[in-house]
Amino acid sequence: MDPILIFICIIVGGILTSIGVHLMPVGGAPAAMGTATGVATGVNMLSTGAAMTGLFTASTVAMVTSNIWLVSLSGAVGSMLMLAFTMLSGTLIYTQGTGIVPVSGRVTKDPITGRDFLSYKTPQTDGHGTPDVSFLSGEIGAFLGGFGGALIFYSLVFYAGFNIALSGIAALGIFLANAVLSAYNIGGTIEGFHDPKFKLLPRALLACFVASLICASFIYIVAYALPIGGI
Amino acid sequence: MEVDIDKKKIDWFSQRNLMIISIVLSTIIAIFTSLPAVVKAIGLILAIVCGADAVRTIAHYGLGTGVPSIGMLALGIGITAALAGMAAPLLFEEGAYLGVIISIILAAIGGCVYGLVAVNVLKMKIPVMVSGMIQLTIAGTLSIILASSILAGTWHLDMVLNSVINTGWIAVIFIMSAIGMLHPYNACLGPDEKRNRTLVLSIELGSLLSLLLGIELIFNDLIDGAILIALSGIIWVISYVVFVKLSMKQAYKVVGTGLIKTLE
Repeated sequence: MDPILIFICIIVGGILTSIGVHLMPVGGAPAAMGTATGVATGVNMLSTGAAMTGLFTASTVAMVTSNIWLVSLSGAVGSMLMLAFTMLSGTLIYTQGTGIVPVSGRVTKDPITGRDFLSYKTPQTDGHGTPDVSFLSGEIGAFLGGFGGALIFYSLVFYAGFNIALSGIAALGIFLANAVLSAYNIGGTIEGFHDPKFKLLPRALLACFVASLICASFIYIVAYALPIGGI
Repeated sequence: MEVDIDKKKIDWFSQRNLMIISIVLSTIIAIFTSLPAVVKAIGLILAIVCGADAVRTIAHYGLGTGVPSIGMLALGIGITAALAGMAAPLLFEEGAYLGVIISIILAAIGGCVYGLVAVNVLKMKIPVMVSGMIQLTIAGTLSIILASSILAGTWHLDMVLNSVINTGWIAVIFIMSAIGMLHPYNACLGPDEKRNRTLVLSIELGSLLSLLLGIELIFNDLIDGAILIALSGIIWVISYVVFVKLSMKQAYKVVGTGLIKTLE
């Protein structure tokens, strides 16, 4: 057991999770009606889905290697795949099913592709669908979130000496606590890095630092007790 | 907020009283690990009701992210605090019952810090955030401990590790406890939300979790499992019927639409 590494990994993982949540295109309930940009669900559902997939891939890789980069990156890739499929199928249903054009409500032009948003935006709405910039932002967010989740998982398995199942559920708990705190910071909906709410990130980082510190101390108690109990 | 308060008699089921009664009873039930599974299930249901009441109080102010987030937050902190408390018997042999108390204290500290962070750092305008979060995390921790205790017979980490965590039941416990706390207010919210209806729904979800645990328990302990299934089944049916009746009674009007008609 290595207490300093446990604390560092959990805090870094929590902060990466927080940044990841700020980058995901979360639309919430308005997006389900097509009146806000993003995926039509809340932060916690979206990040739980991404984190679970990331933890599955990370735990699979952790069985064959103990390289921190391989485990963390595989978690990141799992999260990215999950979020990419979610956003892609959501966009398919929006464009092909209900006939909505993916448009951001925060900017007049796509910062990456330069496509015009303003003339396609339905009046009285806050944008709709998942445009290119939000998709890309979401992928970066899923990468960071998955990386953070897998880093927490790695530290629990290899530094705290937990088994895979215990590490998985504890990592999920820490990830969720951080993700929900970040979600409260953005007030439920965000479009990506081009959203003005992204500027609120520093205070979420402070909040997640404190929150991760608390979780890391709880985990440290368990990690301290496990070898004494002969497990 | 409070609906039909009778001023003349003491309201035993006001939020504060319900919180004290359920937390104290659940803690006592959790400490005595040799109690039958049925009693533990009652403690579990009480803990879930306590959590649902706290969710109702906090989410009443509007979270901005939807009600489910607060339930997930509670169980996220709850599970780490519960694991820390469950590990206590590994550290000291005598006075191992303190594990539950340690869990509750850790959960209260965690909930307090999270509430303070949410109010002061994230600038959430919810006056009851700190007290509500403390109540919620304690309820989350107690529900994890009691549900693990039903399956493993005790909540000591060495036993729980084999029969709850490695088998994957912890995921069911995690999500069903979270749903028991977050779903009632999420389903009933609105201007016509009444406290009794919300809490009856949380009883229903708590008994559903005990029913699931009973199905697993019956393979290890036939009599305990059978009694648990029977009792939680009865509570489930009763609470479901009461919930439907309350919904119909509190609705402005209930209209039967009949079967879906096809156009001619």
